[in-house]
Amino acid sequence: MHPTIRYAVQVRLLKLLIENVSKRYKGSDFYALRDLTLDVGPGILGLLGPNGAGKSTLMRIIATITRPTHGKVRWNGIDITQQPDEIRAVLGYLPQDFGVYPNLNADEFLRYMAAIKGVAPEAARERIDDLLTFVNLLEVRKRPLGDYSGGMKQRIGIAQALLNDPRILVVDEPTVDLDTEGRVRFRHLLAELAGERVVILSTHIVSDVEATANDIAIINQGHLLARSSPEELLQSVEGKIWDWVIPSAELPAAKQKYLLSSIVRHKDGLHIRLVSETSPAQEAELASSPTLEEAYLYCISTHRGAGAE
Amino acid sequence: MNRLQALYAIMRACYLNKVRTYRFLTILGLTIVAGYIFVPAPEANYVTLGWGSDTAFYRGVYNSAWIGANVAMLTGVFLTLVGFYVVKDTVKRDEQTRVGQIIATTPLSNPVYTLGNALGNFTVLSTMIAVVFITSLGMQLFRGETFTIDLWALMAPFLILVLPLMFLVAAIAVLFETRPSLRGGLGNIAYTFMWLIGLPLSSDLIDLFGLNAILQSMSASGLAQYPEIAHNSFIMGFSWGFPTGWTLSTFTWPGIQWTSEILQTRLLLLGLATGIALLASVRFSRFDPARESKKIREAPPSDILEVKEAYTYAVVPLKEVQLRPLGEKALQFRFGPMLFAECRLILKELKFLGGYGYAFAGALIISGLLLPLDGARGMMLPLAWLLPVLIWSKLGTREARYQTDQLVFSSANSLKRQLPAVWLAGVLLAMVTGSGVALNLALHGDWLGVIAWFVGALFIPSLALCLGVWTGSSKSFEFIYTLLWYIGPINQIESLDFMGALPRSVEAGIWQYYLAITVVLFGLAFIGRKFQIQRG
Repeated sequence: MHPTIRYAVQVRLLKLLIENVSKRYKGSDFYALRDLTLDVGPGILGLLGPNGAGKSTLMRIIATITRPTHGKVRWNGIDITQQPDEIRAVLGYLPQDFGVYPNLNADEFLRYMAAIKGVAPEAARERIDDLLTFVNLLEVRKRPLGDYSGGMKQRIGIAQALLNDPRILVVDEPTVDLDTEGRVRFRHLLAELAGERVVILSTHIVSDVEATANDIAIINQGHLLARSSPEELLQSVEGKIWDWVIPSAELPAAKQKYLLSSIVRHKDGLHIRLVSETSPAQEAELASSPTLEEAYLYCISTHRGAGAE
Repeated sequence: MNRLQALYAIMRACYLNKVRTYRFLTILGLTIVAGYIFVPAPEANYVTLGWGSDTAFYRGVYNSAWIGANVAMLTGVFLTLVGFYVVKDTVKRDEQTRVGQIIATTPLSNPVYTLGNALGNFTVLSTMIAVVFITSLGMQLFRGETFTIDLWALMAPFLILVLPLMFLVAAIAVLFETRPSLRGGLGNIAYTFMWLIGLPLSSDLIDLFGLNAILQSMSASGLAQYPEIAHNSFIMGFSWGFPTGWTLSTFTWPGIQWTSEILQTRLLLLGLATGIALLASVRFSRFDPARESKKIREAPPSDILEVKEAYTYAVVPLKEVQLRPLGEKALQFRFGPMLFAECRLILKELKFLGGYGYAFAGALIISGLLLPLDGARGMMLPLAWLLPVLIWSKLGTREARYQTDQLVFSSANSLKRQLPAVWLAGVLLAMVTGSGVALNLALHGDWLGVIAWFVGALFIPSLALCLGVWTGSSKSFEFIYTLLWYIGPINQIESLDFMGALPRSVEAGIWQYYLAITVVLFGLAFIGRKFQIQRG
């Protein structure tokens, strides 16, 4: 297909389809993912799940780093497990763990990555300036990356993921090493980018998803537990979040019986928020506005063990 | 936890970490192969130990004593080199996994840590020795010259000669790892040279390998039965090329008495190894990057503060940051920039050589051009192609080493785009560093020499890339290349002259073989990288 036509088709389609994907690692019976199906279109999909849920495995499969044991992943109809270069050409990927070349400075490293990604040198120069400004590393662009802090390296990772103006952006725990301002900045960027591309944001930080995603998928133990909009997810805990004041001594019992989402100590006792289908006590009050974190906790707790093998 | 328990825990962890890998299984497999080829069949066209001429060869009957001593001595010689590379990654592993930083915060003392790791390395090497021993037992039965097994005679050379040597290697490996300057490729090359120089010295000065007493005893037994042995050359190692029709004569060697003198030397070796393991703890950085990073040490305090200042950067209002979309024209791969980027990466890695390194490379190029041709190709070319060995050794391993593999391999067509660029950058490095000699050859009209030189420039990065991709470590190239470089061009062994340093090897067309090997190596690198990209 002529490149221009293919590009136009991709902009129009922008569809990632994950079909019955399972992943079992070599020499082990453990399935990191099991029969997972998900379709993703333009916008931000927040992929939530506890540690070890299978998020990073899914991210690596989408990024064509890992091949699924079963199932297919289609990008605009093309099976990328067979033709990985179809997605690689338009992919921006920020892995959870990655390194940089310590002897190169930010400018040189990004130019290197731009060359690998096939970005023309002139265009790359402009793009790198923009990205370094965006990730706020313009001042230190000539310093060797070996001297960078963890947060600064993470920002270099974000910049490299955006180098080729990707149609699909896969970011795995992108805000882990960022400070508050960096995190806010990154969320804004994601929101800005989302309109014209597929963004998959994997995280265990619910507030990142809350601020950006228009679509949420929750996975645990390799299974898809829920797929909905943030509003629908919030609705699922409507009438199930309770504010309750208890003496400190009763905390262990409450912890054992209920799923607590917050505990604040006040003069009159402990103000706890909990997730429960029914009122925990007469004096407990129904909370007015559930949070996404509570909805997420509720989802995980109600499905706990469901996916266990 | 007392010190002994801690020592045991460190040793055990070191041992288990190394042996629970496919790599170690492969090493054990190769060890069995080595044990097999150390005891050649009577009809084989090579020999490993004895006395020979063009027409005759004398060796002991393959009884327990001869096989034990034969295999143990050869194992001792070869494993002191190979074993070093097998075990030299203990401290590095703790550093890379960041377990070292946790260890550093415990009450564990440095001497216990280094000695524990040396013992761990020793147990790994001992496992290999045990496998060779069992193989040699099997070989006695397999060759079947005598079926009487004398277990002590078979085992004693391994126990008394080889094991103390292995402890020495284990300790030196830890010492090298705790010295920043010796931890990397420079240390690997230094050790290979130490081995190459130490081998001939050891028989004259100190009997490091314990060969003297055994060889004297073997020689006495042989001479008693075949006095003509005195006029034959002693052969130890691999010797090929016996003409057909040569005769094999055997004599019975009953083994030797292990005198207290021999035992004392071996005990001394154990003491020396323990001393080296403890010496490794002196000035060991204990995983403190501030004590290791040259950059941090050398940077003026204001510089360090500046970086920290940059980390607490000022907020740039979001609206100021506009990411302009890239047009489709901007996304068309071109090989030139890719190659340029790879070359820049190489040049950055040359930085460790500093200004003197560049000056030295320049001097080698100029002298390669100006010296008489034989001196230029025989001396300057090998030197010019030794200088970049630490850069070539990173080809194919850089992505794993710096954990950029996920970034690079998830890019489009990296197999067809990045891998050839990496290789070509390595070729260009060889061509530039060896350019003086090439010009000299061209000026003398020695075009066959130029072709051999060019094949050498293609061969070296291909070997590096192939070994790097398949082993995932730069050590394998550093070790194999240095050995090949020393035995081939330096010791003027024609068949191993991969760079065309010897006029007679060029005339014999040895370069044609290396050209074919280059194609195979590049093909293997390509396949290996394909597996890396499509893993899982």
